[in-house]
Amino acid sequence: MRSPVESQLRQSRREGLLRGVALAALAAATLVAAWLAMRPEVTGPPALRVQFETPPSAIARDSLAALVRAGRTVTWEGDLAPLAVMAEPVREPGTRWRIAAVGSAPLIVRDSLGVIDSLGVASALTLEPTRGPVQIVQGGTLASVAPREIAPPRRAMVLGRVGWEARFIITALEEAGWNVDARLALGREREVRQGEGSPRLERHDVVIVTDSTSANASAASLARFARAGGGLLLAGEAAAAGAPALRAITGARVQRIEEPETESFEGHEPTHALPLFALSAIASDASLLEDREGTPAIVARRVEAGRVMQVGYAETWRWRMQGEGRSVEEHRAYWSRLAGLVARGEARPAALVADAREAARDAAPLAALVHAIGPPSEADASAVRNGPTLPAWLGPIILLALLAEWGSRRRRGAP
Amino acid sequence: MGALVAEFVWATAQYDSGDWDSAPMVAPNLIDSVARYTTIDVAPTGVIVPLGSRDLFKYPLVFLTGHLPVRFSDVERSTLREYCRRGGLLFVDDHNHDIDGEFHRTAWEEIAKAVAPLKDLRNDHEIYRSFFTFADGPPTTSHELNGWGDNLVHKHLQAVERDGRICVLYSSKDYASEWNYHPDNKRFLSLDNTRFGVNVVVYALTR
Repeated sequence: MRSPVESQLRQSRREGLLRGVALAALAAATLVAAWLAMRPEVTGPPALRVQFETPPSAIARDSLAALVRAGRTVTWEGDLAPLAVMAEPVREPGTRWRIAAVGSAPLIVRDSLGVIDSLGVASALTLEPTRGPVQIVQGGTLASVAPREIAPPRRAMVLGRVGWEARFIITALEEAGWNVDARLALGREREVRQGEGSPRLERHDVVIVTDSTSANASAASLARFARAGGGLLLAGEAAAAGAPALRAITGARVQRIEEPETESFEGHEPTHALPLFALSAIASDASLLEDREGTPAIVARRVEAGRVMQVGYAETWRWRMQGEGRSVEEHRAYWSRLAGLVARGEARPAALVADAREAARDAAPLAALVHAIGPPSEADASAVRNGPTLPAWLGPIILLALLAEWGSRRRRGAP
Repeated sequence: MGALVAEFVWATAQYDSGDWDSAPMVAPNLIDSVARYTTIDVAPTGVIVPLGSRDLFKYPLVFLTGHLPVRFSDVERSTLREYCRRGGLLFVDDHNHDIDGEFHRTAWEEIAKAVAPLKDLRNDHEIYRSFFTFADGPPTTSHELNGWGDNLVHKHLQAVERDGRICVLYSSKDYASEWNYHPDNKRFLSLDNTRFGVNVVVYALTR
């Protein structure tokens, strides 16, 4: 049995131990807090808040994106105008590019030599190659794209019978820069050939057929050509070709022929002075590209890897020969455009030059900024709080240490 | 649904000066030949079209001949210039077969004023193979061989070419006389002498 003195000594030791623990905990917590308060920042970088008046350059944007990827919080604000520009080669021979731009106010088009044109809020234009990237300017915002890719000449084949329509389609395409092969029926088992006699996918981008006899005679091979990725354009009477292989891929049927709405080209839309193989029964997956007073005139349809177009207008050569003003140029552009619309694939790829790639990165500066560092945000106090912070577990430890010290004093009756 | 209209109509140019109608049987004879040898959808009768009229543009191949001096009016000249720009082909034949003749001299001058100077057409030009083959160039005519006119056998035709296509074809060989007979009389010929006319038509319709 322990003596009272012995018990008092034991209790005194326990209290001393408890007090020591409490003091040690308090001291440790105080030291940790002091160390945390004084140590250099290592737990995370300060947030970065940026204000833009104009979109940053691609280099600045990339730098901000790199900070974000490294864990830095980057936010931005600014009333930047949405603006975007794109360029694609015109799918016709030559080096022209179609530039499409969209903004929120009238746009200025320029290159390194100066202003080229002005555009509406959302519009497009076709340009010859420019000196340096094409720049679209809206206020202080600039988007640029570099149309430097050169589209190679393209090759078409014309099938039909000897006649003015085939001849002037060939003329129009050749004048527009197309290389044209042709096979035109003439006489008993006779034909006129220019270049290759049969459509081949590896050689021809588009085949234009001008009469139904030729279309039906080659229906199977024409359908194969289109399904494999070629462009097939059935013009005039050929639009009515009824061979099953063609009916399976065309987007419309021909029910009747409409006479020209006017005998003269003067003062009228040129196509109104042409006979029209009126298209009807348009397939649900076909697109009506043009009508004449509500009568479908041009229908296109994708078929597997290729495209098929029916052009109901006949005797378009009369437009070139008898039309007003710039009818020669219009007829030429008309056929080149139609052939380009249906021609195989994109212009064959050519390497983009380095500054073209660089300029392409600024084709939509606001969208690129949002993609890089997120959308703009309002100013947020938490987002700008800088400096070290104490860990959450330190508070309870300090509180427990203070309670232990307080309890120890109470037991000892200390003040 | 067949073709809407005849693909080809033989047209003869009517001009203000001279005797444009000196060979009226050329048209039916050539129409007969085109129908006889090809499947070209040809109109059974030809037309006469004023050289200074916009109607000229309805016929991308037009034949012009005569004996007398040719002086185009300003309208005829400008119309012919525009006709060539649009892609038409004017086939001119000297009905005199005489390079010192009035038609020849004046027609050359007028063509040079309206379009461009004529130049010799090489004898391997595709027009000599467009349907029948004429290995030696333009076929001779009986009028050359029998010594009429300038007593010359002309070795070449002449042409104005535009973008690789003939827009004016000129002949001193007097095809107008050679072809100016009723087509029924072809049966008396061992070889149809209008065959080169078919080549001109096929060339115009394909190039």
